[in-house]
Amino acid sequence: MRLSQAIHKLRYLASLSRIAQSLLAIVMGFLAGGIMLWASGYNPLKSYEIMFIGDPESGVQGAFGGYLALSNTLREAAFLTLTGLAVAVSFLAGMFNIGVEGAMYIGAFAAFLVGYFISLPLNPFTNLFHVCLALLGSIVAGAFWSYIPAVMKVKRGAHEVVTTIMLNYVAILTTKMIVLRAFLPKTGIVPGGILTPPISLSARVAPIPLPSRAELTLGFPLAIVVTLITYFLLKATTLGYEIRAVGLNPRAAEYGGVNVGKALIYSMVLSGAISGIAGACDVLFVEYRFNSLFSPGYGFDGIAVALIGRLDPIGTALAALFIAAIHMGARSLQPALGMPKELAMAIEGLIIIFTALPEALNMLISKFKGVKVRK
Amino acid sequence: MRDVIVLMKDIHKVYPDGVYALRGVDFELRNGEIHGLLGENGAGKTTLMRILYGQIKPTSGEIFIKGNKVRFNRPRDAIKYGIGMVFQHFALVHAFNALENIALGMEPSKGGLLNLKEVEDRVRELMERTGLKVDLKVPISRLSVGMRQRVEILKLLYRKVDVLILDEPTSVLSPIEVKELFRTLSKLREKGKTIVLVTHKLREALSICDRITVLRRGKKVATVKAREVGPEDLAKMMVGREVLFRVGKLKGRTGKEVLKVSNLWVKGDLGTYAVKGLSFTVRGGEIFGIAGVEGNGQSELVEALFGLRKVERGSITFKGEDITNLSVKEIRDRGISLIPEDRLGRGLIADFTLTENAILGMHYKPPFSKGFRLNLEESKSFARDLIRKYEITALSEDVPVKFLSGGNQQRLIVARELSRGPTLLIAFQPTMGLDVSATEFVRNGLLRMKSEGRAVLLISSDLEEVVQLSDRMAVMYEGKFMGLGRPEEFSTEEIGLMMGGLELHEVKSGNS
Ligand SMILES: Nc1ncnc2c1ncn2[C@@H]1O[C@H](COP(=O)(O)OP(=O)(O)O)[C@@H](O)[C@H]1O
Ligand SMILES: [Mg+2]
Repeated sequence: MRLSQAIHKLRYLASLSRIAQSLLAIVMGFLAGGIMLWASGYNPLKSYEIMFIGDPESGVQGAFGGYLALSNTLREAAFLTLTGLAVAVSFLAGMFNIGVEGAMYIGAFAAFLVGYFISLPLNPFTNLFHVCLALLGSIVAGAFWSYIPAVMKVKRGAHEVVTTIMLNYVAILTTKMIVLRAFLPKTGIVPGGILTPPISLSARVAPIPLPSRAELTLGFPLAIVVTLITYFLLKATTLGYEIRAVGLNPRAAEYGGVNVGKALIYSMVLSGAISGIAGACDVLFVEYRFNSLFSPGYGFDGIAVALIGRLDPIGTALAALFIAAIHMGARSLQPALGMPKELAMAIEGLIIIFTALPEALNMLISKFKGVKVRK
Repeated sequence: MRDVIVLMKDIHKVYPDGVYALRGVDFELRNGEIHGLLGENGAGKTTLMRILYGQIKPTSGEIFIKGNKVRFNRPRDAIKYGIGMVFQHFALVHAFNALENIALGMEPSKGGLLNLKEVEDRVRELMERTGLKVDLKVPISRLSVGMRQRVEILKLLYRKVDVLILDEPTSVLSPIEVKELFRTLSKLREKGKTIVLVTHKLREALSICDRITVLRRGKKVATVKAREVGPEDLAKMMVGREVLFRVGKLKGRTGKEVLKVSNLWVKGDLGTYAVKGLSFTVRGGEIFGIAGVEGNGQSELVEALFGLRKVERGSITFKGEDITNLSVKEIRDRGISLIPEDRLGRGLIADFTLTENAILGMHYKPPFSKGFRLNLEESKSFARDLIRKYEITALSEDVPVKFLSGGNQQRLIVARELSRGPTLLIAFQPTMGLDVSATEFVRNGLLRMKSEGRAVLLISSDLEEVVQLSDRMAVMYEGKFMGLGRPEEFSTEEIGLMMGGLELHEVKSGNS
C-alpha cells in the first residue's frame, strides 16, 4: 500500500511541474534571447536591465522603470489579457478559434455606434449608464460574431480555423468600408488608419492620472475584473465545467449528458463577448473614436498569451503582463543602445516563442494523438 | 527431478523512477514444461520476464541457463541462449507481410543478401510441424490479432528458441482463438519446447500449465503443481486473502419489466447495420447477460440504449415509457446508468480531478449545481464519500484521475454509476483488464444492484463472467442473438458455437 501511495504521489508531482515547466520555458526564452544579444555584440544582462528597468544614462525607461512606461505597459497588458482570455475560453472547449481579432473589431465598432449616435446630458450617472450601454453593445456584437463560426461548425462541420480567419477579414474590411462610406466627410485619414469622428462625451471614460503626467486607462482594471469573472465561470459554474469537459474529452462529456454542440457554441459566444470588450476598451477609454486599424494584432497575440498562460485565466493575465513588458522593453533597447529595430524585434520574438512552446506542443500532441491513454 | 533449464535467483528490480517492481524473486523453469506465471496487474510478471529476455537488467540477482551463469545485455543475447518472448503489444511491421517480418533482423546468409525463398521454405516446414498456419504473403495490417500472434511465435521458433515466453497472450484473443493457441502450445510442449505463460486468468493457467508460479507485489508467493491446486487456492495466493469466487446466484425475486427492446436496428460507424432487429426484456432484480466476441454490435447496442447513437428502427421502452432516441441527459434522468466499455475514452476525463469526474452526469443537478453554479464543496465531499465507501486508492479527491491505476479508475466509474441508484444499470465490459480484487469489487456491485431489485444489463466478451452472473443470457453474433435462455441450459461448447455464429437450434440439433 505504501509503495502504491508513493507512486501516486510521484505522478501527482509530475502534474504540478507544469508550473515549473512554464518557469523553465521563460528561463530558456531569456537564455536564447541572451545568446542572440551576446552574439550581436550586446551585453545581455545590461540589455535585460534596460528592457525592464531602464537606462539612467540616456534616461530611457524600461517596461517597469517609470510611471510613463508603466502606464504604457499596463494599457497593452489590458488588451492582451482580454484577447488572451477570449482565446483561452474557446481553446479550452477545443475550438481552434483564430477569430478574436475580428470579433474585437466588431465589438469596437458596436461600442462606437452606441457612443456616437446616443448623446446624453453629461453627469456621472448618465456617463456610467452610457458607458455600460456601449460595453453591452460591444459584448452582444462580439458574441454574435463568434456565434457564426460556432454554428457553422456544429451544424455543418465547417472547420473553425478556416471560418474564423475568413471572418476576420470580413470584420476588419467591412468596418473600414462603413467608416469610409458613412462618415466620409468627417473621417480623418491618418497613417495609423481611418478615423471616425469622436463619440459623445457621455460615453468617454477619462484615464486616472498618475504622477509624471502618466495616465492609467480603465482597460487594466476592467481586464482584471473580466479575468476574475472568467475564472469563476470556468471553475465554479456548470457551463464552465461542460466547456472544459468537452475540450478535454468530448466522448466522455457526451456520455455525461453534456450537449457537446451547445457547449462549443457557448464557449465561442463567451469568447466573442470578451473580444468585444477588448475592442470597446480602445473606443471608450483610449481613442474615443473608431480607428479602422486600432489593433496591432492583439487578437493574434492573444493566442501566444493564452498558450503561455496555459489556458488558465489567472495564468493568461500574468502572461499578458509578461508579453506586454517584453514588448515595451524591446522598444526601449533601440533608443538606449542604438540597437537596430529588427534585432530588438527578433529578441522579443525569440523570448515569446520559447515561452509559448511547451503548451503549444502539448496542444498539438493532444490534438493529433487524441485522448492520451495510460498503458 | 527433470533438468532445470532456467534458474533466476534473488532477482531485485528498481525502475529508474523508484518503483520497486521485484523484491527478491526466485524462478525456476524445467525443460519441456508449460509454466504459468500468475499475478495481478502490477505484480511484476512482465518485469521478471523482460529481465529473462535481456530487455532490462536486474538491479541485483543472478540468472543461470542450464547451470551456466549468464548476463544478458540485449534480447539478442537471450535469443542466442534460446530464449524468446512475445509481448502483449506485438512488434511487427504492419506494411510487411508475415514472411518479411519473420526474416526481419536475421543475419544475412551469404553475399550480404537474405534469401527469402530459403526462409520461406523453412518457415513452411515449421508451420507444418507446429500447426501454426499463417498466410505468409498478406501484409500484417490485414491479419487478425490471433494471426499476428502466430507470426510472432513463428518468428521466435525460426530463431530456434527453446524457451518461449508469452506475455498475456490470451488477453487479445476470442475464446476460439484461445483454444487454438492452447492446442499449439501443447504441441510445442510435445516437441520439447519450454513455455512460460504469463497471465492473470486463473482458469487459463490451470487448464494448460504443468506448474504455476504466483507473484504478488514483486514477491514470489509459491510455485505449485497445477494438478494439486484449485482456482480458489490460486486466487487466494494472488490476492493474499479469500475472494468470493463462485458468486452465489441468489434466487432474487424478479420484479416488473424495466427495459423492453423491440426489433431494434442500429447502424455502425461504417453506415451498415450493426444491430439487426434485436428484441429482449430486462426485469427488476435480474441480471440479463449478453455474451459474444467483441465487435458483433455490442457497442452500437449500448450506445443506442443510452442515447449516444441513433436508433434507425424499432423501439426502446423503459418502465412503460418510449425512450427511443431521447438524449443522454433525458435517459440518465429517468434512472439509467452506464458503465462504459472504454474507461478513459468514455467513462472518465483523464485531466479532470476525482471530484470533477465523480459528478460527471450529475453535475447539472442538485445538490451539485445550484442554478448555474457548481457546488464545489458538495462535490468534494461526495467524492470523498465515494473514495471511502468504494475503497478507491488516491492521494486526494483533487488528483487528476489519469494518475490513478486502471483498477481505481474503474472503481470510480462504478462508484459513480451505482451511487445514482439507477433503476437500470448497463454494464459494458465492466471488468476488462482488471485484476482479481477489482474484478471481484465490480461483480459484487452488480450483484448488489440486483439484490436491491434493480435491473442489470451486462454486456461482456468474458464468457465466464456472463455465465456466472446472469440469470438469463443471450449470445450475440453479427448484430443478432444466436440464442437466449438461462445459462444452465447451455454447455460451454454450445455457447462457443453460438459465439461463432451458429444459432441455438442448429447447435442443439447438431449435438444430439
Ligand atoms: N518501465 C517502467 N518504469 C517504471 N515502472 C514500471 C515500468 N514497467 C513496469 N513498472 C511498474 O512495475 C510494477 C510491475 O509491473 P509489471 O511487471 O508490468 O507487472 P505485471 O506485468 O505483473 O502487470 C508496476 O508497479 C508497474 O507500474
Ligand atoms: Mg504485464
